Amino acid sequence: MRVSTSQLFSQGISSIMDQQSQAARSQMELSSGKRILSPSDDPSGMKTVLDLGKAIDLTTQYQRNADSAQARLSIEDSTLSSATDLLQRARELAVQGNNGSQTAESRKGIATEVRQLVDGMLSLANTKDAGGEYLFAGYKTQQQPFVDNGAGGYSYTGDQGQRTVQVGPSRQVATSDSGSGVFMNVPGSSQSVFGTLYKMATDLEANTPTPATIDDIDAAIKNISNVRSRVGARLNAIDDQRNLNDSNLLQYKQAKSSVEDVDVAKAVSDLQQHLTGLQAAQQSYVKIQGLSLFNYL
Amino acid sequence: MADLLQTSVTGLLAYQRALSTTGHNISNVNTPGYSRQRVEMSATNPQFVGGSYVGSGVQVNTVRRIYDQFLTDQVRSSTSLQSQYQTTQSLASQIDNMLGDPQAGIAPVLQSFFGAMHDLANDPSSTAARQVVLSQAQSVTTRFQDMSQRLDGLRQGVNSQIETQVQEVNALAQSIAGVNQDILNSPKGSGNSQLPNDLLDRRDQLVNELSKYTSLQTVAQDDGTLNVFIGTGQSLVVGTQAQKLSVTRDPYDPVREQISYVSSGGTGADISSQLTGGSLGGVLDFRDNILDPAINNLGRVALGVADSINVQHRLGQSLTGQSGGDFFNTAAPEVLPNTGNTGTAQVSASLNNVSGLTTSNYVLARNGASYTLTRQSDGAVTDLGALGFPGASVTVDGFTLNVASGAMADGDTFLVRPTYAGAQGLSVAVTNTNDVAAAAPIVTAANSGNTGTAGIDTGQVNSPNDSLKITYHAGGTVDVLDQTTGAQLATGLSYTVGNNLSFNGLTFSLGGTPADGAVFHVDQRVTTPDPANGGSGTISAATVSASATDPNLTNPVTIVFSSPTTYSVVGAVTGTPSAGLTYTSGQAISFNGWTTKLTGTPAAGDTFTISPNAGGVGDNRNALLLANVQNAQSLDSGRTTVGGAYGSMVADVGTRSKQAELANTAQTALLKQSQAARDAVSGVNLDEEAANMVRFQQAYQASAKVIGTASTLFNSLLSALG
Repeated sequence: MRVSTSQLFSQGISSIMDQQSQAARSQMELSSGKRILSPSDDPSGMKTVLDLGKAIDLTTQYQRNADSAQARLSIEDSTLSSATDLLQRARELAVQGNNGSQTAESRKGIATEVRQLVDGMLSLANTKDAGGEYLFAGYKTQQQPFVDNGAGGYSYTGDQGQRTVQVGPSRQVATSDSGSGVFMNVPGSSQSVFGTLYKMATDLEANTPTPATIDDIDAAIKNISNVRSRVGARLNAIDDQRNLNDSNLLQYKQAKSSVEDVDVAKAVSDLQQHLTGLQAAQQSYVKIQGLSLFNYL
Repeated sequence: MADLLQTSVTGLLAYQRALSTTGHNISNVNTPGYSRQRVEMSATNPQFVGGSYVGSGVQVNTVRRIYDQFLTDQVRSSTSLQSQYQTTQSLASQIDNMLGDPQAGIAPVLQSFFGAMHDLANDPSSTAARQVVLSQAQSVTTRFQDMSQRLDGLRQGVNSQIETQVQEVNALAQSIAGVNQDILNSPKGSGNSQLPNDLLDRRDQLVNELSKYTSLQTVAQDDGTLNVFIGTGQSLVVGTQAQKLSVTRDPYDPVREQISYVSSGGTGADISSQLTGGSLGGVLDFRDNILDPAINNLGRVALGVADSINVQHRLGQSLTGQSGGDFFNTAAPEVLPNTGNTGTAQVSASLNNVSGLTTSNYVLARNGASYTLTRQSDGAVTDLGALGFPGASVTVDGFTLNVASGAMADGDTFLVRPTYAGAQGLSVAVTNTNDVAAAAPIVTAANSGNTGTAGIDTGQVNSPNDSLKITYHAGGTVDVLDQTTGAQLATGLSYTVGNNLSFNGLTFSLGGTPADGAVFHVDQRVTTPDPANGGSGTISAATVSASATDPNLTNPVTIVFSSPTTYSVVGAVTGTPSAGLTYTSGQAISFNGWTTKLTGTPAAGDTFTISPNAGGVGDNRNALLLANVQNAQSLDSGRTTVGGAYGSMVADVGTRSKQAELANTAQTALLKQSQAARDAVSGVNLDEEAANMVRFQQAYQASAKVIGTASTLFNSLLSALG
């Protein structure tokens, strides 16, 4: 075939440009570490990358939520643990106070300690979390939930709301318990925990202890222990979900990497190939352009 | 002897011409569009001398242009297509690159926004967490606006490209007409046997230049001129006359430019849709098939985010106990009247439900007594008259049209763009951190005196997006089941077809003659009759109330158990039977737009209350639901999440950009091939010219030698005589 001189020239230039742009592409892939530099490189791959990116961010957020839920439940758990210790002490004192060997004087001494226990229990029930919210107030977290009305009257001003936190795509965990169910309405007891302790102190001061107090305290201990076991179950659930989230996160990251990350070995060999091609194109161009019949005339 | 001299002089002259043509070829080795020329020679007529014919030398017949019409045409059509795809690709790659940067897209800001919502759910009374939600919401709107502005920049770029290219086309048409004139004026030999080669090349080159802007057809005339036609046969050049293209405004949208053809003496007619190929074709293709859909798509994602957050936010309660209201401000669908409209109608449109929105534009037209709405993406036509338009407002594909005032005249048209302004018009409505509605407006409580073991959950507010199943019974009653919560909203509710039904903040009505047992669905606020229905029952579009909830939502009510299995709902309850109900543990109970579940065994006399949430600053129920909007399939009739819709848009632009790139690569290769095929015939090869030069030079020298010989012969004769 006849080849025109300008064609020879433009062909040489265009093959040099082609090789250059391919080498530049390989270089860009290598330097960014990404195979997909714009959606057109792999439209469906790009969508997968976006979806997986969302899944990774969301799962990371679930882990954050789990941290926050765990922190809140841990405070609740330790508060309830203190409350149990306090009630155990109250039970010892109740047994002691009911002992026939006690005198009116010694019972007053015990009562003094019980009074302090009432205050201690009230302050435990009004515990705040790290964010300054009352733990046992339901949704009314900025209002002190347990109020001493005097003369053994205690009221609960919170509500029965329970806060939940999303720790996984389909798992929500409660991070609070309404104080009414923990301290006010004690199954098997006719009064609140505070009322029980207050009455115990009053009875001791009047030198008329009743064994029924021990039953009430036992009921309170049992109730708090039930709440604690629910808190423990939630903490376990959070741990489970956290492990699941971690393994999901790993899978998402691997999948994302396999879609968008460059195969370094292939990219390096591509780059080498394009550079060799570029060199060959340049050399052949110079050789061909150097040849002209006019040189020999 | 005179003959010998004469004969060799013809040789000298012929090879002089051949050498000058070779020189012409060499000079034009890099001239685009130049076709090499050859001197064609033949022996002159012989002389009959002394009984035989004696040759009398050589003559130049013509200087031929080595040229193949077919190959030239092929180059021209390849040029058009290559130029089209190259233009499309270079424009598409701008959107492509914009979406390719993972940090610049919508996905990361959406993620941060929903993350902030989760953080708010973790700590609902924190002012800091609320502030972060508002800041992230601001980032979302800013990002949508930024992207929208970049797309708008591309749209303006398209306009200026159209303007310059139309100018170029006009200038080229003028030049072609000018060359036609030159050719017409040139001497052409008998029967137009000899046309001016270089003028033909120049004209071909101009036509080739023109084909870079648009596809064209040419028809050669007997007088040597060439007529050029574009589009679907509009004549751009006829003989020595050039017509003009002009840039005009779209009759609906003044900032959208179109190309009009101005015929001689006539007015301009829009030929944008008829122009194919070339960079004009590429620019128009990009605008119609990539840019506009991308703007609409982005707008729909913005509306999707805004509307699904808004509806959920309206269901909530702010820190100060106020009902949530809208979180984002959204742009209403645009209705653009045609500049040629003669009627007085002011047509307005509003968003009905994002789930039904498409990414298409629509044309509303009146033709005689018929009113139609045509979806431009697929040409689907809706008969609006049958739906009561223009007397009543009608809802199609997620938006509602109504004639606010005046009337449409026959032939009037309006362009409706439901989502075009969605991204640009997005802004945050909430400015005060207290107004973020993280709480739910109701609380539930078990009476402290209850003796049974039944407990009540924290309750939830029914969403207008819930999936409802409405069953019509002959005799005029309906049953309504909320399939999202599993609660029966109404049983045997007395109902007259045509009246409104209101549930979960939605209002809709049944029409026609529904058969007994006919079922209608409402999902994501999109209403559909069940395909298995008998009868001719229809269901209207559903409208959502400003509060998006039942008006009685916060009425205090008490659930009172008269036995472990029977309960009544006491308080302001509307519409449905509320006494003597049968209790099943775990069953959803729904009244007044809320749903709650009781579990366990109640005792007779046990009561549970549902009351307004007062002082519930630690309530995060609505924040949690807002955070989970991210996973709600709120677009495409409940099939796509907002993130998914954005991903599809990215993939769509990527695919189109990829197509343009592949087509460009293919057409570039084809152009190279047809260019090579043309050059193989018409291109100048310097080596060949060098060889020719040597050949012609030698022939010239030989002729000169013959003259020398003739002279010597003559001298010999003279000296013999002398």
